[in-house]
Amino acid sequence: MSVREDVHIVGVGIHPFGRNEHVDGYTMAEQACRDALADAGLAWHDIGYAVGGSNEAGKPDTLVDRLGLTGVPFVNVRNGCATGGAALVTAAGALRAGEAGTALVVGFDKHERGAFSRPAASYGLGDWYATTGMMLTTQYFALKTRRYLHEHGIPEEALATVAARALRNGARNPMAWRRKELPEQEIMDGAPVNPPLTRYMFCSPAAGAVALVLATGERAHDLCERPVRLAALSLRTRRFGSFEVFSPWLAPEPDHSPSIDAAAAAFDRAGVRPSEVDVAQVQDTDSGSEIIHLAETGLCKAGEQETLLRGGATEVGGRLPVNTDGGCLANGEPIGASGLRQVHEVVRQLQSRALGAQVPGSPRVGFTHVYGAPGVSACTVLAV
Amino acid sequence: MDVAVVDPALFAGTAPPRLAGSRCPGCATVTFPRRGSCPRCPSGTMAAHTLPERGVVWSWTVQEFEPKPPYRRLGEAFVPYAVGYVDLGVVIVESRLDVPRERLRIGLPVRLTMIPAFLGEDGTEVHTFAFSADEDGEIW
Ligand SMILES: [Zn+2]
Repeated sequence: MSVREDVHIVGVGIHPFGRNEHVDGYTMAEQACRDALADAGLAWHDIGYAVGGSNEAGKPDTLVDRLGLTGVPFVNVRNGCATGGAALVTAAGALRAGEAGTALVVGFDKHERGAFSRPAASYGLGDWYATTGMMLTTQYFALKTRRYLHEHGIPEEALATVAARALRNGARNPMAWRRKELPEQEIMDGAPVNPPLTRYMFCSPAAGAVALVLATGERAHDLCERPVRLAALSLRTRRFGSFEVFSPWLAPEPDHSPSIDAAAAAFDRAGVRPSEVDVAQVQDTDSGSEIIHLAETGLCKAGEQETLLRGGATEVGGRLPVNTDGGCLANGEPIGASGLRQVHEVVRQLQSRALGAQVPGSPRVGFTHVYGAPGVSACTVLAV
Repeated sequence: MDVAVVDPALFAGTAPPRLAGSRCPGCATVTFPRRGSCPRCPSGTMAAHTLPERGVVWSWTVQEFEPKPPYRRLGEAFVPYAVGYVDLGVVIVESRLDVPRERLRIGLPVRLTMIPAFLGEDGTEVHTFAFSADEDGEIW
């Protein structure tokens, strides 16, 4: 790919994540957009293409009412947990196709307390699946985690190590929702939800918004001292044999997560090896998910996670800093904003201006990964 | 059917209980519940296939908090229950586990049974399938 066609992130903005009871989705999104524009040194009328994603908080393109009726093309996307990735891939594609020289991407959401409950029929399942108490996302995460720990000889304590690190990073991040550190023992002793997972090992639905400003080629370098190159972005859906939520049956030896495909494609496209990653964000809907995804994305070998976690490799100062802003565990998961939060954090890390804990030593290669129902994954490789 | 069940389509029989799955004549994929077309290959129509009634626990957890409706509990108060996946060889099936908590483990031999799930409109017990510890199963 020529330099002229390279897509860069030249500005980022974020609205604090949390319950945000008194702020609606559009207001959060508007603030994130204005912050991202200011960060890029641009005005809304400079933006030639816009993409917005929200799962439940409204139609993103109506933001033009607040930002200005400039006539800009504004595409709405809604892809579940991959909404942020889908928004980013859409905007980057438009820039590469020469539709515009600058683009804005925004993701926002606001979910009710204890959201994500769905009627069985919407998943093509009979009522029996819900009435008999099997249609719960938390059960799925627990069942998948227990099997994974068993197969790879990882002790349950590793789940607490993940959550403790997330909360530790969250405590230092002014944009995070959960900002209180907890010792591992307290996490292990937390109210059981679905063992082996306790309450502190799960993220919660929340509210938040993130916006990014993109530009191509030389324009990016004019706008930003240290633009972050979108080296690759891959989006994948599940294949046969993937262990997904709300599955009354599985094929023997299920194992083909869309995360494996999305990550491999992103690294291949970027020409980067997973071992070259200096800072990573992986989907941590629960502690077990992070452990599973570290290996599915190729960042480590299956079974190697406990050594990495115990040895501090995934800490901010470690060899492979993971979820440096506290991840979903500390930020909650406003679906439309969550994937872009990861990109926001990695961009700031690569520019050595993290809002929370900063990875030392000028990191140069970053990676993000989202995974969600119904079996979708999006990964990016970012570089300076 | 001699007992009320949550969905008759799940069962090939209830005394003794048998689960009604389907099998693809093209690629041998087995599903539960029954479905019309194969999720794996384009070979066409799935055939009825009664699932094995013995297997081993593949994973398990306990539902510690009461799920929101449409979940229906059996008695006055919510009682936590075990849920898991059971490896039947040809397919892995998600199921309630009628196994005491201290005995729950991956690899535990289990056998198909029926448990009361909730009370129907007329007050009779509505049953669902479950797997319980298979006392003869250690030879597996
Ligand atoms: Zn088939």
